[in-house]
Amino acid sequence: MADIFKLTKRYGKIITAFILLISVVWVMGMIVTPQILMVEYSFWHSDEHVRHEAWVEIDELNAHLNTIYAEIEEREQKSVTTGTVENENRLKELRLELATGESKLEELGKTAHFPPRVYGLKNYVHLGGHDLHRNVLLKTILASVFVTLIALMVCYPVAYYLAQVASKQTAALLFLGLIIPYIVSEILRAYAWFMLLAYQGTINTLLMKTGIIADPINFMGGSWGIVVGMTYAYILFMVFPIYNSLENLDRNQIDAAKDLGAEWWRVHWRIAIPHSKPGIATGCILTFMLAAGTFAIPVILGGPDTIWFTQIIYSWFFDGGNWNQGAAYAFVLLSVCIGFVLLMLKIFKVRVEEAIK
Amino acid sequence: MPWEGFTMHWFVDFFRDKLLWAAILNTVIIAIGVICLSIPIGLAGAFLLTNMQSRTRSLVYSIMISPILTPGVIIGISTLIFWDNFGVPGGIFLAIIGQTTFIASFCMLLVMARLQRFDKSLEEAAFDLGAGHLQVFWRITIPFLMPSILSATLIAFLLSIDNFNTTLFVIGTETTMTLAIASKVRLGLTPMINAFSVFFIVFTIIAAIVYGIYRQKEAKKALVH
Repeated sequence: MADIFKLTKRYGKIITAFILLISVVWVMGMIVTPQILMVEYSFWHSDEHVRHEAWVEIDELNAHLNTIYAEIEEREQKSVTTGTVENENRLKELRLELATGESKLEELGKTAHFPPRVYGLKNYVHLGGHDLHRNVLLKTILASVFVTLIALMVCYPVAYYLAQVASKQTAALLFLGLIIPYIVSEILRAYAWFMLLAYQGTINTLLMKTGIIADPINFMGGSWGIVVGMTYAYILFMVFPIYNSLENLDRNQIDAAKDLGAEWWRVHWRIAIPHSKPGIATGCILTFMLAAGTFAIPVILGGPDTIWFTQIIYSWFFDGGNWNQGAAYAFVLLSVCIGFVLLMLKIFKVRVEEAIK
Repeated sequence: MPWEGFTMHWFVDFFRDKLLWAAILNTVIIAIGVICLSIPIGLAGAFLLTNMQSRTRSLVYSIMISPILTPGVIIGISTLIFWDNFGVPGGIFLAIIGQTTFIASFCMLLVMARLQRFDKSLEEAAFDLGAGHLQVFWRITIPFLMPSILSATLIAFLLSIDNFNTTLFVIGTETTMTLAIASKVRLGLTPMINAFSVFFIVFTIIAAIVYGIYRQKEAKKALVH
């Protein structure tokens, strides 16, 4: 309440109303409610038994209505040629039956398309019991952790060099080189690696021309193509946060440590790495999240049997048509990512406000 | 395939591909929609957070940046499910909504970084001289934030045209440039994609250079003042 009072005092009532309205629509209408709804979806499934029964009944009713319809037509013709009272009465009866039958058909159609919801853990049990899906989930998590570690090992030295060693001009030039590939889309970055790693791609052609290998190597058979492509694709998300936190490290601290006889690794272990903790946490969080949630890179750089968890989620939505199952899988992926975020914040003892600025 | 010489054939192919042009048009419409929504949302969020002091700030902050930490597919799925309840199917509108959900967070962070450096005495001076709230807002606060609003616009544009994960789930039967390229890449190697990539890369690099020059000019101006 005190905050709102402060806002009105500073910006006036009209602008404050707009600020609050827009913020509420964004937070509630675009972030919170959709997420809650997705979680709610994951905890129920349509009653397939009721749906099946409804379809069976629809078929029976349709057949019955068809015979009625045929009889009506027959009797209508009769009433034109030789109209009897008995015929007219029967016609009335049939028309009534047709009308009630049709309204019942409509109701059954509703049940068939929207059968009653059954709440429970069925969607999660399905994931637990499905060997392939569980393995893909584990592989996705492991590969993402692996990509994060490689990116960290590659990026920490680069970030340190940019922040502490390189001159202003060199750093600016290197940054330009780092940033340009990132303005271009992720798809094209993956595609560039595809052309390098393909069976008849640049690397194989070069190696064969120079006589180093006789036959082309299948780089993209397993997960390695994916790991390479992802490490490349997400390096910037690791370099930037670490660079930001190392940039304001006072050089005097490093010099003092060196003067006091610390070896180079001890300078990093005791001074630079502790100082860049928030940056490392941010970099790891972003890289892991991007790697676990990627869709395009495994499709472009993976072999025919390397699938990513996101691809299974997609197929639940658009090939299997089971949104509830898909929502459960999506919530599992989200939980893994949230778990990783909390783990990183705890390990590096950073608050969210410090990690994402 | 063996190299047989240079040709412009693939560029011609690319310019003739009607489907790709439709995808480019969709991309531009979505990007404009995202910018129009993300900038006001980013501004509102930044104003709200900068003026919050209580403990709820931490919670609101976490929620507002959570879309950045959420995988894009999850944002796409939750948007799709939410709007399905209102009978809205996937398409350009949902793509705008889905992308705005997380792009607004980036815009908010960019605006907030500058808003925190805002000198409050400027506002107070204007009030003392008899300006109204709206006047101060349009004549002082917004002009001060303008560089960050322009940065946010460019970032929103780039994030929007590149987006794959969220768009994939909410685009319905339409397509965008990035999705079209992905499906072409998936189908196999055709030099037309490379021709298109060259076009795309040149375009984005020009945009980046223009932005860089603008930033430098702004920096020089700031030094002079």
